[in-house]
This record gives sequence, structure tokens and C-alpha cells, in this order.
Amino acid sequence: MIRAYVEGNDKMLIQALFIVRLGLDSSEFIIEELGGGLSSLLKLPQKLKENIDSGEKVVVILDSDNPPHAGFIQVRDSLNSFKVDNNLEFDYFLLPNHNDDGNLENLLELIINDSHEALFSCFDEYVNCLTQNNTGHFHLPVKKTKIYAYVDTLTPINQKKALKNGNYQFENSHYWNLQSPQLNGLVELLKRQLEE
Amino acid sequence: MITSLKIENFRAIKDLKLDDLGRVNLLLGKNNTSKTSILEAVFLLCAAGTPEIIHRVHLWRDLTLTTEDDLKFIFHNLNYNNKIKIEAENSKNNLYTILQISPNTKGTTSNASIEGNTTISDSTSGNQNVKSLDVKFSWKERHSKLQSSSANITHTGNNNFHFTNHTKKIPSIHAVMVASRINYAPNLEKRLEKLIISKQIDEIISILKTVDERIIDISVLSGRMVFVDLGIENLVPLNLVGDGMRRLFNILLAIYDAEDGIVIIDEIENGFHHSVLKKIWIAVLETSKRFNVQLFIATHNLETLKCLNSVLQLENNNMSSHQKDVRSYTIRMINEGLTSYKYDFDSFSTAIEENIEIR
Repeated sequence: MIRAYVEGNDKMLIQALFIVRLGLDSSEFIIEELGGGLSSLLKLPQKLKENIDSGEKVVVILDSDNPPHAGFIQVRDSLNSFKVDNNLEFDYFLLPNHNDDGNLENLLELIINDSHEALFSCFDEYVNCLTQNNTGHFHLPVKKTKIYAYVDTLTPINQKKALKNGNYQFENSHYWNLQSPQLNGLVELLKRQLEE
Repeated sequence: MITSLKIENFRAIKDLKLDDLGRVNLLLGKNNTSKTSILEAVFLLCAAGTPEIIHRVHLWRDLTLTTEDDLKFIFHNLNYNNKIKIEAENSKNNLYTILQISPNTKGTTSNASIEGNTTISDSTSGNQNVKSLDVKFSWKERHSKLQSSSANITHTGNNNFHFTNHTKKIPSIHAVMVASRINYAPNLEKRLEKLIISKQIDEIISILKTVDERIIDISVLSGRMVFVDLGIENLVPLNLVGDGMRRLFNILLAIYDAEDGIVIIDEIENGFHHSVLKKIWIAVLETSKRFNVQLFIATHNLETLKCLNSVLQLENNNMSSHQKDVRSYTIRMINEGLTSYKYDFDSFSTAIEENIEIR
């Protein structure tokens, strides 16, 4: 059994990767959503210890986020200290690519279905327009809105309800390319949980 | 206050340790993870001066102490070879206590069967016909030597047991157990009379209004029965009022009775409607702090835990001052043995708010 602790927004993508890229059945993994991300995880060493003691493979997937709030190096260092201080053994991956600052949205921008790239170009023009006309009341960038707009635009009216519930339809190849090499690092880490 | 507890060979517990206990200790876990056994072990240790307490512990499980075979129910795997040991460290005077219970094998016979010409004894399996248990209590206070005292429980036939007193006066902690079933608490009338005499009954009544605002008074009549005044024509026997009121009454009575001691509550949520749970927690936290009572509480009810979490974050009444007192222990069966996982308030609160399963 794999138990993945993930940043709240990341759950749907990780679930899709377990199913599509690893060929797992939903009974073979559990995804725990942490709305508080890293700060919540750091308060739960005993839960991770319990999971590991029970024979589960624990994997953590969080956003690196952007400075000054965090960033790849800060989150990596926090997790390494957390592992050492609590004598916990688990793998982790920091989105978007386990190297740069950023988050889920940065990764999602890279794994859209290529045939819909125009949608992003249009959105970028919209953001440029906002930037040029910013009176100081616009809070930019709007990355979450960009991804939402992408999915919303592709979703037929009779299927909008799922989108409102946060379902970005990651398993739908019309929307996303889950075979993208951009996901290879994350997928390799998930696969390693099956091998060890 | 007990600060750490180690239990060996008691009921389903082979070996379990709880460290860094607080004033309010929650025991969480799935069914059959020995939560109630932990509570019983705490009670046994605190009341070790009176060996007949084993009889009381049996009663909570609807077990009787009538035949010699009934003695083995407290031993792990019902095997006398698994000698019981319950150890605790106490913050008061750095008191360290050990309770050991073992079969007295003097004069016992082994169950034996004859196969062919060979006699096979099963004494090695711990199934001897034991008629007597030795209860040894050892303790050590700061800068003093370890002392010990012994007592004995012996089956004397005809469903009778003889309990000998300890050879020395032993340090004990006053502990009161509130069992999971809502029943008439032991010595209820005497304890209530004490509260009436000490003029504390009005406080209890004001808290009982949490579950039934009609309550006006509560009294003992003829020293034999407790009646409640609900403002109707006649007083009502306590047994006829709702489960929630009786349950809260039992809990409050236990806390008032156990000043500077311990109250043990099994399945605290029993009898309460969810709408009153927050007020129940406020009452339990406030009164137990006021009387310096350490709590051991077992539950696996999520709603109860969510209510506690939100109560501990209330800004009014300074409820957040209780956060530092709270510990939660998740008991899990790992590799056929029990393990405890401790959460302080911060971790407990995070787990509850993130819907992480700690029950």
C-alpha cells in the first residue's frame, strides 16, 4: 500500500498518475490531502511513523512554492530535517519539477494537450492587457485562474458541475498529456515506491 | 499526576508504553486495541492497595469473580505464565510505582492428562489450577529506597474469595472510573451527600442544565435513592431521567470526588446528543482543572474529537489555556503487538482539521 501525502490541490493529478502511468487500482494507494501543505505535514510525524510501522510506503508531494513564502531549497531543507529529527524514511517530490520554485500550476502549464496551446496564448494576451492597465488593484499573476480557464473552456456546459467540484479531468487526454516527459521525474519517484 | 505508564501482560496487552502523559489524555484506536484495558490498568495501579479491586474491574466487563478460573481473565492470553506488571512514573514526589500480579503456585496442581503411559503436564502453558494470586506493589519516592508490599487474593471455595491486606501502607492515588455503560455509579448516594454538605451541589446543577435546563434540584432521599426535581409535580428518580443527564452527573461526580486524583472515562460520548458535546467538554475541562484531576478518556467518536478541538480554540473562557494539558494517544496493532502514537494539541488539532485518521 502506498500512502501519499499531497498538497490539497495536487490530489487529482497524483491520483490520475497512479492510475494512468502506474496502472494501479484505487485500492492500492491512499492519498491524504493536506490543505495546510508543508506546515501541516511537519506537525504529523507520528502519523507518518504509524504508516511506516504498518508497512505502508509513504511518499510526500508538495509544492515548492515561491519565495519569500518558501521555495524549493527551503521546503527541501525543512523536509530533510523533518525526516532526520523524527527518524522517518520516505521519498518526496516538490512540484513543479523537484528543482525549481513553483507549484502545481507551473507543472500543469507544461502538460496540456498541445492542440489547445492557442488557449494559453489568448490567456497570456489577457494577462498582458491586465498588466498594462493595472491601476494597482489587480493582483497578478493569476496562474490558478489560467488553469481553471483552460479546463473551463474545454468543458461542455453539461459537464461543468464536475469542474466546480475541482475535477480537472486529468485522465482525459483531450485535456492533458499524462505521458508528457515533464512528468517523468514525478512518475519515476512514484514507481520507486512499488519496487522497494 | 501520572507522567508515564508501562503495561505488560494485562488482558490483551502484551507490552505497551505511554510516555509524556498530560493532565488530559485521550486514548484513540479501532475496536480491540485495548483502550479499555489501558483504563483498567490505570485503575488497578491506582487502587492497588485494595486487591479486591480486581473484582470491580471484572464487573465492568460483565465478568464475575466466582471460581478460581475467573482469576486468569486479567492475564494476557489467559495464561498465568504472563505475569502482570504495570509501572508508572508520577510527577508528585517523583513517585515511581510498580504493580505486579502473579499466580501463587504454592500448593497448586497442574492440569495433566494421561496418554498411554505418559503423563503430560501443561504447566508450561500457564494453565495450572491456580487458586491464589500474589499482588506485589513496589514504590520509590525521590531520594528514598525502593519499598515493597504484598497482598493476596485466594479462592476459598463456594464462590468465595479472601482478600488479604497489604503488609505495608502503600501510596495510592484516588481514582474513579466512569464505565462506558450509563448506570448507577457506585456509592452514588454517599458521594452526592458529600456534595450537598459541602454546598457544591448548586455548581453541579448549573452544569447539568447543559443537557436539561429544567433541572432545579437533585437530592438523596432516606439515604437510599437519588431524585431529581424537574419542576413537575413529583420528584423523579435519577434512573428515570435521560441518559445524557445521568452520564454527565456520573462524570461530574467522579471529578468532584477525585480531587488531586484521576478520573477514567470510557467512551465519553455515550449518552450525549451531539449538540451538547461542546458544553460537556467545557464542563469536563474546567472542573477537572479546578480539582486538579488527571483524565484518561477513551473514545473513537470523531464528532467528540472535533468538538474538543474547537472548544480548545475558543477564546472566551480562556479555553485555549487547556491546550498544553492535552495529549492524544492512538493505539494501533503493529506486527501483532500494540504501539502508541502520541499527539500533542498542535498535532491533534492538525490531524482533526486535515481529516487525518487518528482514531
